[in-house]
Amino acid sequence: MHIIVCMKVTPKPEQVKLDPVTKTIIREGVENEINPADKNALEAALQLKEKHNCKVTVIGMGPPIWESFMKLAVAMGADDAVLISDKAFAGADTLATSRTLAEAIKKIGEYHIILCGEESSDAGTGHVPPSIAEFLNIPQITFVSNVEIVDGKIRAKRVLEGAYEIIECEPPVLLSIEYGSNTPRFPDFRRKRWVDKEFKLKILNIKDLELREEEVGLKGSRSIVEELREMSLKERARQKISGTEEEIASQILEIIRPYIKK
Amino acid sequence: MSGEFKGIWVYLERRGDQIIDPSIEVLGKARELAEKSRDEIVGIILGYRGLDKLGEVAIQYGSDKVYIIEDPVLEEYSTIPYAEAISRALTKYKPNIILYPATRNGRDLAGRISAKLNLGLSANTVWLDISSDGVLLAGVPGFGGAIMAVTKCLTRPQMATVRPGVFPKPQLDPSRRGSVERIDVGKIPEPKIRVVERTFYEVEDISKAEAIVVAGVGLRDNVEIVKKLAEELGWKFGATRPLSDEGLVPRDIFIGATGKVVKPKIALIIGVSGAAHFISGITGAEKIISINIDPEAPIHSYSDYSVTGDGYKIVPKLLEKIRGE
Ligand SMILES: Cc1cc2nc3c(=O)[nH]c(=O)nc-3n(C[C@H](O)[C@H](O)[C@H](O)COP(=O)(O)OP(=O)(O)OC[C@H]3O[C@@H](n4cnc5c(N)ncnc54)[C@H](O)[C@@H]3O)c2cc1C
Ligand SMILES: Nc1ncnc2c1ncn2[C@@H]1O[C@H](COP(=O)(O)O)[C@@H](O)[C@H]1O
Repeated sequence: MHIIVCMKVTPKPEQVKLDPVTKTIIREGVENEINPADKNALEAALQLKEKHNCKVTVIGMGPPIWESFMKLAVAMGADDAVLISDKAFAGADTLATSRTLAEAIKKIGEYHIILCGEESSDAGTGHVPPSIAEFLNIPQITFVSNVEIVDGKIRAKRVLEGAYEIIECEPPVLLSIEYGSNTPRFPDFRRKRWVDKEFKLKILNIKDLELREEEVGLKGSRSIVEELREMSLKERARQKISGTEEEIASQILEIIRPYIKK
Repeated sequence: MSGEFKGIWVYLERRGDQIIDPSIEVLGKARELAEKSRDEIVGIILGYRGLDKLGEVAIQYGSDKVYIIEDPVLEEYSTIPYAEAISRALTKYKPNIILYPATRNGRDLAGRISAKLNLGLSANTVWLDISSDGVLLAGVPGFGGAIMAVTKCLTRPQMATVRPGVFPKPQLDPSRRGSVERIDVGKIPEPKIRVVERTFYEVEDISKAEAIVVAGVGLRDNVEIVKKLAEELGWKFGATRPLSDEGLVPRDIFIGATGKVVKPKIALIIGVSGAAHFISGITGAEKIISINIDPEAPIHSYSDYSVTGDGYKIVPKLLEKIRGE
């Protein structure tokens, strides 16, 4: 089977700040990483690959600086990686992003399983996976904590609020994988050297995908950002409590005493 | 443009024969928006059997009208039939806005409809406003909740999913009247997937806790003492997501951007670093006390009282003192 993993690169959320004057995000000095949930999706794909001899292709729609992360995914064990990159794709909302990814998936060829992360750590919408599935006209199973292939069928555990479902389905299907549902492996050292020396990342642009400018990026978006606001966190008193453990416990007790229920 | 598009719809997600609280919260918010835009509020319920009763409940919570789509295929939630049925209803009745609870199923559904009908969609919104001409402004949290993007849809119906636990649940008003109507959207397609098992389990609802003790990864080797502390205090017990992911605590008690939003009078937070994704679930706490061994941990600067110290040592002392009282 051929598994395609949709992977994006996100800034570490704790490092992101708004410029107080321009109200835009300060990107300088912020470290990027593979979107955490997508690392779990990739790990799920690699585990299926080991068991069932699948082929794993990673795709991402983003700027050229993502190249090193796409290669990192190959060093972790993916067979191939494709970066979908074009100035025209910039500023895409979830709809334009999904349309572009879906077109790229069609171009890549035959596929059986598409894996996404449950949500991205920057936008955090979780809407891209179901939108891709709709554009491809295939079923979806979102928020999956475990996936298996049983007799050629996909079997997934889907986790909801206070409930879970075991779902079976014929491929092709799209799954979104829960953040934290497995432990992503580290890149393989030897493979990494091979990637650095010999692996050629494929890059697809708007012409390769035969999409029109009105369909992608900001122009293809149907929701727009009017402004960014820093969420005003309540000012906290920031009082330090110190002393021996005994003393600390006494001081905490004084503060919480009025709230004790028993 | 909004001329022919009228009314605010609320997708009333159901579990069995109950409308779930996150949907009722959305109804409450929709009512508030309607004060400004003078829109009619329409609740939409999908399912099979026993739905009229739910319609009445929705009216008492704030709907002016309820549309029911009834079909055996819709008995339990499934993406393809639900997305198709709602999309057809949206195309036929043209509401100006449709809001969905941002539950896992709500997001699964709204994302699919967005692509099906080519509509803009604002995600997980924590803030909503409407202009007098019916333009919905929707606050989408980003980067774990540290930043909010105020977004606008360019298409009609305008769509947004609304984060559970953010807006208050309105009071039931038994005197409210409205109509419950069945609508026909034609033959509904099959799911294309098969649910072989569906298990519901009881969960502790920490979202309304007045006081809460929270354990983080720093206390993973003895989560039990933190739980014990909560018990002795008569407080609720919560955790950070990694502890749930590891299976050390139940899934439905983690706090944060993808977990519960809590608004306690007091929170005692132990062994938690204070990541953005966690903090966004606890901003409503009146008072925060934290214990973290690392003086540089971000949680210190988001606390009213903070201790740099070892939770494994302080918690037992605290337990001793409470028991001694
Ligand atoms: C898409 C996405 C969604 C997420 N959603 C959520 C969410 O909803 N909720 C959530 O919580 N997280 C969420 N996360 C994860 C989040 O980013 C953090 O990884 C997580 O909150 C960290 O949990 P923690 O503070 O318990 O652990 P850590 O960050 O590992 O911190 C442990 C802390 O314990 C301290 N410590 C160690 N030993 C002791 C001791 N003996 N006594 C006292 N302190 C000690 C350490 O100094 C450290 O600061 C999400 C992440 C992503 C990518
Ligand atoms: N630009 C992108 N490139 C590749 N995959 C993406 C992109 N945006 C979103 N995804 C996938 O969709 C998932 C959910 O993203 P989101 O809907 O933005 O929260 C991510 O975890 C990725 O798997």
